[in-house]
Amino acid sequence: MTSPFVAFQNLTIEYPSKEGPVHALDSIDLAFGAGDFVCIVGPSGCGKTTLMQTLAGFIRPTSGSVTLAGEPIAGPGPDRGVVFQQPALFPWMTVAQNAGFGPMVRGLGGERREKVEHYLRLVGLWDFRNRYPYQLSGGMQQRLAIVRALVNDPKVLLMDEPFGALDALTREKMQEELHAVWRRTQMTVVFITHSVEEAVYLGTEVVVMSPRPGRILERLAVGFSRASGARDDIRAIKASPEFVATRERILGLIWAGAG
Amino acid sequence: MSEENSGGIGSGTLNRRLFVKTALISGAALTSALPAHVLLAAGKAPQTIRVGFFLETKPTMIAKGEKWFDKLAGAPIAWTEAGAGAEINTAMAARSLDIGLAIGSSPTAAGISQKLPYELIGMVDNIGPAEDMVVRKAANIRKPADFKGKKVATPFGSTSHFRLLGFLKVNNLTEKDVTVLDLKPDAEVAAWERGDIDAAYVWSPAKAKMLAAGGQSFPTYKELDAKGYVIADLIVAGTEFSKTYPDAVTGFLHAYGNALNLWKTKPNDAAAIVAKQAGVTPDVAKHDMEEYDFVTFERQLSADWLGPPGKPGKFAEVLKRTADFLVQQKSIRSAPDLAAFQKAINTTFLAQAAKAKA
Amino acid sequence: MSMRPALGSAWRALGERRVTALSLLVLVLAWIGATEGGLVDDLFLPGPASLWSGFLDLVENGYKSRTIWEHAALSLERVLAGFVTGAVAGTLVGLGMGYNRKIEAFFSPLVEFFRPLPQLAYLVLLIVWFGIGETPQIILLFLTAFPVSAIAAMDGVKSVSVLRMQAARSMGASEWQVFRYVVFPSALHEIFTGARLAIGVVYATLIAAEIIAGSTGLGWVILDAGRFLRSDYVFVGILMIGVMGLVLDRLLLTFEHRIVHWAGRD
Repeated sequence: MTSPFVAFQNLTIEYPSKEGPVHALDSIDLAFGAGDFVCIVGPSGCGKTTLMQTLAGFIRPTSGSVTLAGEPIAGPGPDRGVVFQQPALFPWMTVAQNAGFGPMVRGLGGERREKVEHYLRLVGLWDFRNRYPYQLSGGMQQRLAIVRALVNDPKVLLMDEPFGALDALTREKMQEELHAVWRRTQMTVVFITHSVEEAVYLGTEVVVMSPRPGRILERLAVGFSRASGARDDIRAIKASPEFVATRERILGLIWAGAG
Repeated sequence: MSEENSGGIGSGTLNRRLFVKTALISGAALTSALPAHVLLAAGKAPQTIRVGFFLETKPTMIAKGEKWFDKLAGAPIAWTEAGAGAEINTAMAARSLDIGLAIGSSPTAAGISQKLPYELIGMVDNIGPAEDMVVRKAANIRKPADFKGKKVATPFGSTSHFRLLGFLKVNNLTEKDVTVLDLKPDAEVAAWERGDIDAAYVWSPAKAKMLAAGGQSFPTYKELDAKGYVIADLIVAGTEFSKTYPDAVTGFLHAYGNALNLWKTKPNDAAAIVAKQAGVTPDVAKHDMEEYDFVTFERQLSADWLGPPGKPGKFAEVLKRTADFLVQQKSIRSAPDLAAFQKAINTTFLAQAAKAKA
Repeated sequence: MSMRPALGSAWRALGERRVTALSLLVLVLAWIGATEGGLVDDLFLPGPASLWSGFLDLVENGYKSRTIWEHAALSLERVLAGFVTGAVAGTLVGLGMGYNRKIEAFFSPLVEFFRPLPQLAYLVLLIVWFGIGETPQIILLFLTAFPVSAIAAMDGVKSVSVLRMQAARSMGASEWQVFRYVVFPSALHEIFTGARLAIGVVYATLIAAEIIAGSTGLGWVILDAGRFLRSDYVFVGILMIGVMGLVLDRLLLTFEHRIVHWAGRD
C-alpha cells in the first residue's frame, strides 16, 4: 500500500444543465489499495454514480485527476469492469455470447472460452448458455452482467447499485455470491449502494458522501467482510451487535450530513 | 331568472311558446320530406349554382369572367375546376354539382349510360381539328401503317383518347401494334421534349407546344368525324336542378349565348377577356379558339346536332356510338339503346335562351 | 363464485383473432345489406355479386390489353424495387443520422423536404428528368420509402440505451463495434417498424407512380376504371392491392419476429 492503486485527487465535476451548471463533485480526495472492497454510500444525488463513472471513464474530470495503478484514466476500458443497477445485457445475444462479449470485441475469443465457461459455471448459468437474457430471472441477469465484466480480468470492478432492483431474498443471495467471488479473486471492487447494511456487510472500507455538491464526509474501515471465515450465517452476522452498531453509526452520519 | 322559470309549467306563455315551436318543427319536418321542386315554385332562384368547369380558352370564360352567368342565372355561382370529364361525372353522381360546363362527349355518353342524374342541355363546341394527332417529324410517320411500333400518348378517358382509339380501329391497328400511353397533357409535353413518345393525340396548349418542338400535324379528324367519331364539348345539368330551377338553367345558357355572340362578332375583344381568364396572351387565346367550331344555338337546335325540344337530333346517335365503343373498351359495363340518349337530351332551355337572345 | 372466472375465461377464449373475424363479418354484412338492399347505388359501392363478376371478368379477359395478373405482377415489381431500394438507403442514412450529428445535419433537410411533399407535385419533373417507363415510377416509390425508413432508423438509433453502449465500451469495444453490436441491433425493431410503414406508403403512392405513362399496373387499372366510374373494377383493384400489401406486411412481420425476437420481452 505504498502507492495507492486507485486515487482520486482533488476531483471536481461540473456539468451544464438547463438550470445552469451543476456542481456534482467537489474536491474529492480518495485513495485505496488493490484488493479493497470499497463501498460508497450517501443520499440520492450525492454524486456516487458520478464518482464511479469518472473512474469508468464515461465522464472526464472538470478538474483534478483519477488514476488507476498510477495511470490517468483516458476513457472506458476493459481493465475496469462495470456493472449497473440494470443488467444492460444485449438481448440479441445468447447468454454465452453476452458473457464472451469482451473477449470477442478484443479478438480474444478462443483464449477466453474457458474463462467464460468457468465463470458461467461458477454462477450457475452454464446450463442456460444458449438462452437469451430475457429468458432469465432478474437475479440470473445480474449474475450474467457480473460474469460479463469478470471475464475481462479487470483490475477493478465497478458496481453501481448492482442489486438495487432485486428482491430482498435474491439480494442477500447475490451478496453472498459476490463476496465469495471477491474472496476467491481478491479483486479490487468499488461498490455503490443505497443500503448501508449491504455496504457494512460487503465492504472493507465504507465511504460516506454528503449531498450535492458531493464531498467525502467520512471513511471507515470495517471488518465483517475480511474477518468472517465461514460466513455460513449471513443473518447472524447482520444481527450481531457490532454490525448493528456500525450500521447505525453510518446511518447517523448520513442523517447528519443530509440535515 | 330565465323565462322558463318565471312562466312555470302549465302557464299560458310556455304553452304558446311550445305551440309555436312544435308548429315550426313539424313544418320543417314536412318541408324536408318533400322533394325540393314541389316546394319551390318555378321561377324561384337557387341560393348558389355549383358549376364544374375547365380552365380553357373558350367563350365560356367570357361569361364566367364577366359574371354574366351569375347575373342571368340569378344566383352566385360556385365554380369548381375539374381536371377531366370523369371528375364532373363523379361529382354529378354524388350530387355535388348542378351544372357541368364543356364536359366531353365521351364522359357524357358514359354518364348517360350509367344513368347519372343529369341531362344534356346544350353544346359548347364541336371539337373538330382542335384535338388531333401531332407526330414527331423525326419519327417518319406518313401514313397510318407507319404508326406500327410507335408510342402514342393521350389522356385516357378524354375525347382525344376516344378519337385516337377510333383512328386505330378505322385503320386496322391494335394496341399491340401501337403502344398507347396514358399521359396528362403537361406530362405529354415533358415526355415529348425528352423524345420518349413519337406522337400524341391531344388539345392545345400541349398540342401547340409539341408542334413548336419538332412536331407536325397528322390530321385525322375529317375522316373520323365522317365515320362517326365525332367529339364535342357539352353542357349538362342535374335533372333535379333543371326541374326545380328552369329559369336559372335558361339564364345560364343565355349568358353563354351572349358570350358566344361576342366571340362571333368581336373576336379580338372576346380573345382579350378569355386570355385574361386562362392566363395566356390574347393571340394564343384567339388562335386556340379558332380551332374549335363553337356551334351557334340555332345550329345546335337543328336536326344535325341536338335538335329542337322534343325532337332529338343526330347527336343522340353520336352519343350512342360513343357509348357502344366505350363498352368495347371495357370502360363502361353496358350502353342503353338510342332512346335513352334521345331522352337525355333536353333542349327546352336552349330554345328559350335562343329566343331570349333574339 | 364460479361464474365470474367462467365469464372471464369465455371473454379471454374469444381471442383477438375472433374479434377480428367479428369485425370483418360486421363489415361484410353491412356491405351486403347496403348494396343488396338497394340503399347504395352500384356506382358508389358495388355489391358482392357485381364485384365477383367484375373479378371473374378481369381474370378471364384482363384489363385493356393485359391480364390482371400481369398488371398485378408489374405493380409488385415496382413496389418491391422502390421499397427495397428506398428502405435500404433510408435505413443506412437514418442509422448515420442517428449516430452522428453532422450526418444528421447533412441529410435532415433532404429527408424533411421529401417526406411531406405530395408526389403529384413532382410527377412532371420526374418525367422530364427520367422519361416515361419504369425508372421514374421506381424513383417516385424510392423517394416515398426513403424518408420513412430514414426517420425510423434515426429514431431507433437515438433510442439506444446509453447503459448498453457504456457497457460495451467498458468491455473494450471500439466505436465501430459499439455501432455494430449494440446500436444497430437496438435500432432493428424501429427499422422493421419503419419498413412496414414504408411499404404502406409505397402502396399508397403506387397509383401516383402509375399515372406516369401508365397503362399498366393495378394502380393504373384503379385510376383508369375510376374515370368511368367502373367501381366494380376499382374495388377489385383496391382489394387486390390491399391483399398484396397485407401479405407483404405479414411477411415483414414474420421476419421481424424471427430476427428481433427480443422485442417487447426485454
